[in-house]
Amino acid sequence: MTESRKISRFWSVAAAALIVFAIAPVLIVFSVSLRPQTPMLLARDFLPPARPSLVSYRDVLSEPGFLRATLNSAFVTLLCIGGNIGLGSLAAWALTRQRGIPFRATMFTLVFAIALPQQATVVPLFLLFQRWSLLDTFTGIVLPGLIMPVNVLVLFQGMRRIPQSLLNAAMLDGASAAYCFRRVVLPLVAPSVGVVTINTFMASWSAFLLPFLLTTTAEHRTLPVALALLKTQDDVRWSLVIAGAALTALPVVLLFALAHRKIVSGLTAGGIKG
Amino acid sequence: MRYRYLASYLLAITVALSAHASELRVWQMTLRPRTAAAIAAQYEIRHPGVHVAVETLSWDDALQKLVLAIASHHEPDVLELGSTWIPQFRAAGSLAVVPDSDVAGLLLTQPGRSPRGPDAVPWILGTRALFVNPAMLRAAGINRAPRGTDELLRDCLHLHTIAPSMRCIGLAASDTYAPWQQLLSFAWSRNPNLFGESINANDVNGPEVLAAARFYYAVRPYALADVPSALDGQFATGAVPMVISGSWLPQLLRNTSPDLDYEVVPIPALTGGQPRGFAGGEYLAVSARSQHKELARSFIAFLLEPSTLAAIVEAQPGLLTARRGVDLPEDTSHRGAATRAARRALQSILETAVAPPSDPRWAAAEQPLSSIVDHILLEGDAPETAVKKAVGVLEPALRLADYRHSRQADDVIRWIEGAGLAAALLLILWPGRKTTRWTRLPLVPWWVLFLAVYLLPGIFVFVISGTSYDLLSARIVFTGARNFINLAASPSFQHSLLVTSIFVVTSVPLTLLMALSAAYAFQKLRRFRRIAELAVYLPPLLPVVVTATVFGALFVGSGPVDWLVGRAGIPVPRPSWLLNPWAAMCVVVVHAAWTSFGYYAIFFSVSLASIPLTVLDAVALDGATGWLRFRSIEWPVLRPTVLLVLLLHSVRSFQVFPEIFIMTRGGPAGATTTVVYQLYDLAFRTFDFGAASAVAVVLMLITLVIVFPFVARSGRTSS
Repeated sequence: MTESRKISRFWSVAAAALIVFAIAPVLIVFSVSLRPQTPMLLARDFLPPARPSLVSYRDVLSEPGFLRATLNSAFVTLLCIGGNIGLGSLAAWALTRQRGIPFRATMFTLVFAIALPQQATVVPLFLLFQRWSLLDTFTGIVLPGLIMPVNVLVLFQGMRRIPQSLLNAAMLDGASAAYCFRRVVLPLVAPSVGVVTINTFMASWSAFLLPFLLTTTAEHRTLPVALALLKTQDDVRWSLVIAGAALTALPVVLLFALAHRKIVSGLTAGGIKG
Repeated sequence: MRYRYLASYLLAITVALSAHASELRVWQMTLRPRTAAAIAAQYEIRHPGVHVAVETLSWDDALQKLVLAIASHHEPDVLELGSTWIPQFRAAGSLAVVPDSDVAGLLLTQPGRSPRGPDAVPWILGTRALFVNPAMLRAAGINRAPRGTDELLRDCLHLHTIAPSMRCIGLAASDTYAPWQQLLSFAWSRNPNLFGESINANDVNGPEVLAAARFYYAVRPYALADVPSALDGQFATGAVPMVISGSWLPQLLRNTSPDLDYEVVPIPALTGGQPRGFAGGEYLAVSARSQHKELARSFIAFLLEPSTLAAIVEAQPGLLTARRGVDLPEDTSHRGAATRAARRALQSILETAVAPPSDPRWAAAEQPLSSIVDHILLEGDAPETAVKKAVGVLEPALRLADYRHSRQADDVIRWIEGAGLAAALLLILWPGRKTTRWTRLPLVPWWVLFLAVYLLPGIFVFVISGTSYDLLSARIVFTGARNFINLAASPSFQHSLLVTSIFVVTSVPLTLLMALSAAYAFQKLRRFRRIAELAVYLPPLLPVVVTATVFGALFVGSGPVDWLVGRAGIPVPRPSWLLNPWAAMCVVVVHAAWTSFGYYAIFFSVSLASIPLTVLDAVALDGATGWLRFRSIEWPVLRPTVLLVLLLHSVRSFQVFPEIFIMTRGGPAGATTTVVYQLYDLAFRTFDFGAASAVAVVLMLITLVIVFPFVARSGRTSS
C-alpha cells in the first residue's frame, strides 16, 4: 500500500510542478503589469506589487499607434469571424451537395492548403498583394484570415450529418433554399459554428506573420505587430512591453474564463493549432 | 445598434486617413532625430499650414524600409538615398525629375542626373583620405606625408626597418563597401574615367585596377588589414601611423582622442597619376508618386540653404556638405582648429573626387570588387590571380543584374492569375447535372478568395524559386535550378537546417513527455482536477507574440530565472540567457514546451478517459499496477494519439518563427537561425526572393514528407 501511496504522491508533485510551470509566467505578467514603473526588470520587480496601479496600461495605450493597433485588431478579428462563418458555411453547404471531380478537387486542395505551411507562401503572397495594391491595407490584412481552410472542414463535417429527409420536408413546406440554409441548416450546426468562431478569434487575434510582413505603416498595424515592434526597439521599456503583452492576452484570457469548455472541445475538433 | 458602432468606427478610420492632407513625409538617416525635428520646425514656421513628418531611419535597415515602402506604394514625399542606391531607384522609375536650377552650384551632381534631368540632389557628401600621424612619422625621420604610392612604399619599408613589429598603414578589408572604395581611389588616380557610364568586367580586368592591385600586393607586408571601425580605433590610439578612412574620422578623433595630432591628405596616387578620392554621399529625392512634389522640392531647397547647412554642420560637425563654403563656426581651441583643418582638407579632396558610375548593377559589383582586396591582403594571392577570381564572380553577377535579359515580373504574375482564373471557371462550369451545378454557386466567393490567398501563392512559390526577382524594378530573370544549387552549397542554409533539427529533436520529446505526464498526473488527481486542466490549457491559447515577450522578460539578465537558477546553485549563463548561444536555444525549446504541452495534454486526456473503468478495475484486481498497467493497458490506447501528436508537433517545430523573431532575432551569432527565420531574412532583409522561395520549397517538401501519411488518411476519411 505504501508503494502505491508513494506513486500517487509522485504524481501529485508532478501535477503541481506542471501547473506552476504553465501558469506562473501568466500570473507574473499580470502582476508586473500592475506595477507603476519597472524600467529594469530585476528579480524583485516580479513580486506582486504592494500598490497595484494601472499607470503602465495608460502609458502603453498613449504610446503612438498602440491604441490604433488595438482597435485595428478588434476590427480585423470581427471581420474574420464574420467571413469565416458566412463564406465558410456557404462553401461547406455547397460542398455537401457536390459529387465527383469538383468535390474531390476542392477537398484535395483544401487538405493541401491545411498542410501547407503559411511561412512558405509569404513571398508569393507579398508579390501578388503588391500587384493587386493590397500591401499595407486593411483588405490585405483581413483577406488571408477571412477564409481559413480548417473551418470549412469543421463546418462540412457538421453539415453532412444533417439528414436529407429533414431538408426535403422543409422544401415540401415551401421553404426556399436560402430559407432552408438559414433556418434549418445553420441552427443544426450551431456547435460547429461555435468552434469556428473560437478558432477564428484565436487565430486572427494572435496572427503575427502576415500582418507583420504585409504592413509597413503604423496605420494598419495589428496589436501583436505593435507589441513585437515595441519589444524589439533598441531601448526596451519593459513596463510598457509587459503592459502591452497583458493587454494583448486579456481578451483571450477573458474568453477562456467564460467559455473554457467549448474552447477545449474546439481545440481538438479544429485539429491543428493556428 | 451594433451596425451603428461599426459604421462610426469606419467613419473614424476614413477621417483619420484624410486628416493629414498637407503633410510632407520625409525619411532620412543622416540627421539625429532632434536635429531633424528642429530643422523641420524651422521650415514649418516659414510655410504655415504645412506639417513636416520626419522619420529617422537607421542605416541598418534604411534600404529595406525604402524598398518595402515603394513596393507597397507608401513611400514618403522626400527620401534620402545613398549615392550608390540611386541607379536602382531610378531604373525602377521611383524618382521624380527636378529642374536643373535645383542643383545649380552644388558639388557632385553627376550621380544624381538621369537622362531626363536631375532626379537626386546632393546633400551630405563623403570621401576617403589618408589620415597621417605626423609625430609617429617624424620619430622615424619622415618629414612629410606621402604623395604617391612609391613614396608610401618607401616610407613603409623605412618604418619597417626601424620598428619591424609596427604596421605602417591601415587598409580596409572584409567589408562590402570600404575595400572597393579604397582600391578604386588608387585606380582612379590613373584614370578618373575608368568605368565611364556603366561597369563592365573588361574595365575591372584593365590596367588601372591591376596597377592598384599590384600596389596592394607590394604594401601587404607592412599593411594592417581589418574592418574599417577597427582601423579607426587603431589610428586613434596611435597604434598605426597612417590609415585610409572617411570623412567621419575627424569627429570620432575629436571625441575619443582629443590630443592626437593628425593630418588629412589625399590618398596617394599611383605612379604617373593624380590623387583622387572616392566620392559618395547622401542625396535627396522627390518620390515619383508624391502628391506634394512642389512642397517636397521647396523642402529640399530649404535643406540646402547655406543657413540650414550651417545649422546641420554645427549640430553634427562630422558632416561635409554639397554646397561649398559651409564651415564650422570659429573655434580657437586646439581641438576645434584641428577639426576645422581636417574638414577643409576633406572638402578640397571632394572637389576632384570620383563617383562610381550610375549603373543599377553597381550593387552587384561591390562585393566582387572588394574581394580583390581580401584575396590579396588576407589570402596573399598574386594581384593577377585576385583580379581574375573577382572577374570570374563579377561577370555572372552582372549578367544576372542585367536588365536586358529580364522580363517584367507582371507578365509572369499575369500567367499565374490566368491559371487561377481558369481553375475557378473550370470548377464552376464542370459538367454535372443542372441542379448540382446550381448548388455550386455558394462555393464561388469562398473558392475565389481561397485561390487568391492559398492556392496561387502555393503554386507561385515554385515559379519564383527558379528565378532571380528584383523587387524594386519588378524584373524577373529565370535562373533554373541555380537558387537550389546555391542553397545546397550555402553554409548558412546548412547551419539553419542543423539549428532547426536540434530544435525539433529536443523540443518534440520534451513537449511530448510533459504532455503525457500532465495527462497521466491529472487522472490521478481527485480534487483540483478541473482547475489543473484549465491552468495547463491556457498557455497554448495565448498569442505567440505574448508568450515570447513574456519569456524574453523572464530570462532577462539578472531577472527571475537568473535568481531562481542562482538560488539552486547552478551557474547562470554568460552574458545572459538570450545572448549565450546554447542558453538561447534552451530558452526557445522551453518556450515551445510551455506553449504546447497543455494542448497535447488534452489529446492524451481524451484517450486515457476512453479506457473503460471496468477494464481498469479488472486489471487492478489482477494486481497489475504502475509500469505493468501502463505497458499493457494504457500505452496501446495512447499509441495512435502519441503518433498524431508527434506528427503535429514536428511539423509545427519545423515552422517556428515568431518566437525566434521576438526573443532572439536568430541570434546570438546565428545560434537560433531556423529555416523559416533564414527564409524571412533572405526575403525581407536582403530581398533575395528567389533564394527565399527556394528555402520555402524545401520547407514545403519537408512538411509534406512528414504529413503525407496523415493527409492521405484524412483525405480518405473525409470523402
